[in-house]
Amino acid sequence: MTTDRDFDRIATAWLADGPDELPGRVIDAAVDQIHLTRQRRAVRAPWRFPTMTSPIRLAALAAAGVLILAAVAMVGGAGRSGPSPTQAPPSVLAAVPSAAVPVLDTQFISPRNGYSITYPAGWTVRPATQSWQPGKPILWGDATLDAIQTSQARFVAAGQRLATGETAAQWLKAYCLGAAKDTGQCDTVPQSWVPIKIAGSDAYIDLNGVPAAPGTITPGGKVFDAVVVSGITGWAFTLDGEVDRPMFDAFLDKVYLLPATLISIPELTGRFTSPTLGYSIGTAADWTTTPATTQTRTAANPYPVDQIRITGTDSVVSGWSEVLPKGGTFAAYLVAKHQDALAGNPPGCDGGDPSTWPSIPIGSATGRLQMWCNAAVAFVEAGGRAYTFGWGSDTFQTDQHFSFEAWKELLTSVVLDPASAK
Amino acid sequence: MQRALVDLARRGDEEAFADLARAVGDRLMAIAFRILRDVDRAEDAVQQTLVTAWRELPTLRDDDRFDAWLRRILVNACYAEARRRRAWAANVRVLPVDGLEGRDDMATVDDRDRLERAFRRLSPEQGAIFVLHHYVGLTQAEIADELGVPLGTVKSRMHYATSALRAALDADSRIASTPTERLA
Repeated sequence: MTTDRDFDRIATAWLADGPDELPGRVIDAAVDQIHLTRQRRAVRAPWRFPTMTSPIRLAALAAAGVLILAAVAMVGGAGRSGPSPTQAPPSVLAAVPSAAVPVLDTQFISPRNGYSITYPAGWTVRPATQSWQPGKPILWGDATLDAIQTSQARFVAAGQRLATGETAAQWLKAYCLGAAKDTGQCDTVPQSWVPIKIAGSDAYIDLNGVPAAPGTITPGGKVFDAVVVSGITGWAFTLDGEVDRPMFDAFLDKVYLLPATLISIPELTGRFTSPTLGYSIGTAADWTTTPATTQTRTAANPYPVDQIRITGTDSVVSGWSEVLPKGGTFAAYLVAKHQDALAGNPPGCDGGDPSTWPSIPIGSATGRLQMWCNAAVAFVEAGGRAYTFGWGSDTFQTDQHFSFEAWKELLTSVVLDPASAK
Repeated sequence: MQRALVDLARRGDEEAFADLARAVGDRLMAIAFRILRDVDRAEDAVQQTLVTAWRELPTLRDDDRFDAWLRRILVNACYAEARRRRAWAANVRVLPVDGLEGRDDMATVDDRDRLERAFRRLSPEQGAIFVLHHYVGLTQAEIADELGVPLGTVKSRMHYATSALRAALDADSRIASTPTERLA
C-alpha cells in the first residue's frame, strides 16, 4: 500500500524527469507561422447588432423552437425552395458589409455535450439538459442544445456518440438525412460540403449562410451549420440570426472538443422493476438486466445484486437494498459499508470518510455518493430500507465507460418503492 | 522585461513576440510534455500555443495574467493534441531511464512504468490537472480559476487521477467484489 507521502514523493519525482527545453526549431516554426497570422482585433465594446426593431422580429422570436435545424436548408424562406445542404452554397451575406466579429472572451464548457467555446460576454447561456439521441433531428429550443444568444444571434451546439461500428462518413450522412427531403440529397455527403477544421479535426460546413426559415431568431436572418466527428463522437454547431461567415468562423475557432465529458445516455424507453428489492429504474432498449433473484449465490458472488449491463460500454450499473438494522441509523450504515468496502478494494481508491461524501439526487430523494477510482456507489434511505446503486467499469479507460455523469443522470429515473420489497 | 515584451507583441511587434516565445518556450515545453508524455506531441502543442497566443494577444486584458493566460492556451492545445493523436498513442517515444536507479528520491523503474501506463489511461483533462498541481504547483482553486472550470470539477478530476495512479502503484491490489458493488 502506498501512503500519501510516498505517493507525493514518487509522483513528484516521476514528473520532474523529462525534457525541459524547447528546441529552437519549434520557436522558429512558430515565428514563421505568426508572420502569416493576423492578430485578432481587440474590440472592447460590447457586441451590438445594427438597430432593427421590426414587429416581424418579435413574431419570429415567438416562433423560435419549432424548427428542425438542418431542415432550414431545404425549406428556405416561406414559399420558396431553399438550397440543398449537399451543395453548401457560398454565403449570401457576401454582398453586404460584414458585421464586426465580437470579442469572444468568456468561456463556456458544455456540461453534457463535450466541448468548450469562448463567446462574447453578455450573451445569455442556456446549457443543454438532455442527451441528443442518435437518429433524432435537433430542434431549435431543444433541451439537447446548448444555446448562447442575444436577441439577434444564437449559437447552438450538441454532440453525441456514434453508434457502435458507425463511421464518421455514416454519421455525417445520417445527419444530412435527418433533414433531407429525399435520400439523393445526401448521396455525395460529406464530399459536397465545405471542408474546414474544428479544433484540428476534419469538419464540414453544411449550411453556409442560407436564408433561415421561420424559427430563426431574427426574420431575414441567415444560418450557418457545421458538423465534425472526432473519434467516436460527432458534434453540430449552428449560428443563426443577423450573422455572417466571419462571425461563424470566429466562434468555431474557439471550439475545443472534449469528448470524454460528453454525457451519452440513450433514450430510456424501458423500465427495470426489481423483483425483490423495492425500486425501479429507467433502461434503454438494448441494455441487459439481470435481477439478483436470477443469480446463484457463489463464493465469488456471495451477495447477488440487480445488474444492468450498459451495452457498448465496459460499465455495469447495480441496485441493491436491505432493511436498516434495528435501532441503527443510516449514517452508521454508511460507516459500516465503507469499512466493508475498504477491506476488499485498493486503498488508494478510497474516496474518504462517509461524512465527507457529497449528496446526489436519486429519483426524488437525495442520497450520498461514495467515489472510487473507476466506480461509485450512491446510498439513499427510504421507508426504513437502505438502497445502494452502483456504477462500476471493467477497465480504467474512461472513453469506454458509461460516463459517471450519465450514471448520475440515470439515477434521477429511480423510483423507490420500499413497500414492494420482499 | 516580460511585461514590456508582452506589450510590444500585443501591438504587433513580431520580434518582441519571438523574444517572448524564447523566454517562455522551455516552461511551456516542460508542462506540455508532462501532460502529453510525448516529445513530438508536446512540441506541436507548444507551437500551436505560441501561434494562438500571438493571434489572441490583443485580447489579453491584464498583462499580469499573461502566464496564467498562456498556460490556459497551452492546456487547451494539449487537449486538442491528445484527441487528435490518440490513435497514435501506441507509437509514443519512450525516454531513456538510465541513471535513475541510483537516486533515492526517484521513483523506481517499476513505479515509473506503472505511473506512465496509468497516466496514459487518464483523460487529458485529468492528466492536465494532475500536472498543474504536482508539477507546476498550483492549488486546486488556482487551477479552477486558470482553466475556467468549477472547483468541484477540478477536485473530481484530481481525485480520479490520484486514485488511478495510486492504484497503479499498489499493483498487487486487485479489483474485488463486495456485497454492494464491484469497486476499484
